[in-house]
Amino acid sequence: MMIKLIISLTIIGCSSLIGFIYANAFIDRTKLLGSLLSTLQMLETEILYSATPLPELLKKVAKKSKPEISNILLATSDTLYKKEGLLFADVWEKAVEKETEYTSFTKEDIEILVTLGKNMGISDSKDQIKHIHLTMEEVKRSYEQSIVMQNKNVKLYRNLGILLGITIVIIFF
Amino acid sequence: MRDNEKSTNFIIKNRSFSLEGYLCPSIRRLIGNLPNKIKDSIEEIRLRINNPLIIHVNNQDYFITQKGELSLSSKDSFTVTKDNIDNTLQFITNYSIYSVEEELKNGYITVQGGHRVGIVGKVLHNNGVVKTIKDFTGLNIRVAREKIGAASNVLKHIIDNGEFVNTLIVSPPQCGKTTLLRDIIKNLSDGIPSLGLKGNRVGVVDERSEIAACYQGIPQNNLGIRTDVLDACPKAQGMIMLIRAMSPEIIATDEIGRDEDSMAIQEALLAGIKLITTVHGKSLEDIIFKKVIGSLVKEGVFKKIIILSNKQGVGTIEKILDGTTFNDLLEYPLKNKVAG
Repeated sequence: MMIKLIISLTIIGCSSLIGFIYANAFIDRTKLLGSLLSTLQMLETEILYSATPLPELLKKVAKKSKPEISNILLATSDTLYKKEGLLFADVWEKAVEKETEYTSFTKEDIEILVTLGKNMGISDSKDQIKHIHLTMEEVKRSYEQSIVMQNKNVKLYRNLGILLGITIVIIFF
Repeated sequence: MRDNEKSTNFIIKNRSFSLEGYLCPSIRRLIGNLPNKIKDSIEEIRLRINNPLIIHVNNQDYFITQKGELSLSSKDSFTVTKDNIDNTLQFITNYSIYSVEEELKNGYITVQGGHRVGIVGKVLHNNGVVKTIKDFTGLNIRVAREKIGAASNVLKHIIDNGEFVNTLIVSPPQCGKTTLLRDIIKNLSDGIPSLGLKGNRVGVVDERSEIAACYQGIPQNNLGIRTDVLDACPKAQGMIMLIRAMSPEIIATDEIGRDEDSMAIQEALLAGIKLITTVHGKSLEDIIFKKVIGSLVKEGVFKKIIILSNKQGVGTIEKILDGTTFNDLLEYPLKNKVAG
């Protein structure tokens, strides 16, 4: 009896944990997109007012960004500093793809980032600001969408997790 | 190429290796595979859209074939594409064209090592003021070589009783004018014990960022230990700024010629400051009728006038004239292997 109780509780515990993890991914994404917005804002300010070259600028901004985002920036900056003759867009794309592997960024978010990289550094500051603004617009849209998804799904996945656990227990015991 | 010739020995700092890093991968491979002897004497690398890649070595244009061999004919040569130019520019601007906007307005960028990259393309302007360049169509990478010792042949002429005298360097383009000026500045600043010259405070007004070749404000060329550089500053204002701010003993600038320059020179002379400057020209007759510089020469402001040519290789010192009698102090032209 005692063993049954423990096993049941473990099952319920595990499945609700899975539910929570799924639910948290939605919260994470909202938070990430939010901080991506402020990172982009910082990029804009740096380009506009200090005209720092990208390798240095990315490092600077990385210090003030969330780890998930600063990893991308640092990976790019590190490769650029090595001066291996790789183009910015390629370095950036690789860094984005590698560093977003275990984050809550969705495919669309990654696509937005990659597109940004194709335009970074190749034009004057006016043009750069335009590209950053465009990216910010897109991120904002994803951010709002992410909030909607979050409100809809967080409770759903959490409850689903708990209920699934209970269902399994009821069926098997 | 002229290695076995007997000429003054220079310590040439080889910086062309660092230059390769600024080229786009495919061109970098081509240039990188050239023999070291060629690489060390490259003066210019020219990229023109849809035209062959050209390198300028020892006053001669060479094409590079697809296989990476030097050739004198443009047949089978490597053709530069728009991508080559755009990518090269990425490396030159440290992946950030926006960060060199100010330099772009002048049409060139100075990179680390003091090399200069000239840029052409479509110019956007507003009321006659260049705003920026875009749609780049051509690059000219000029390799900077600091030649320590370039001035050793002339120093004894421009120092009189342990004092530097006002000097004018007259030279056609590409004859080593700036290189000579640079080495003179370094020597004056450090001092020359053998000639009894103490180190002088030298102020340099580097309007075209050529003398010091500043990269992010740091001179890429060694101009000596007592040298202050005003980078990219208009000459006339710069001279007056230096007089007031840094109390120099010697002021060095290149290419004097505008009306306001004359005013600034007068001011400097009044303050007891010595001058060294350069002017474009082939001979004394060439410059004597030029407005500003001509009258300064006639007034005998310059005690020594150095005339350069490339008759016996770049940097030949054709004549050194006395500023008052205009007598040539050299018996024969000095061969002085210096590149522009």
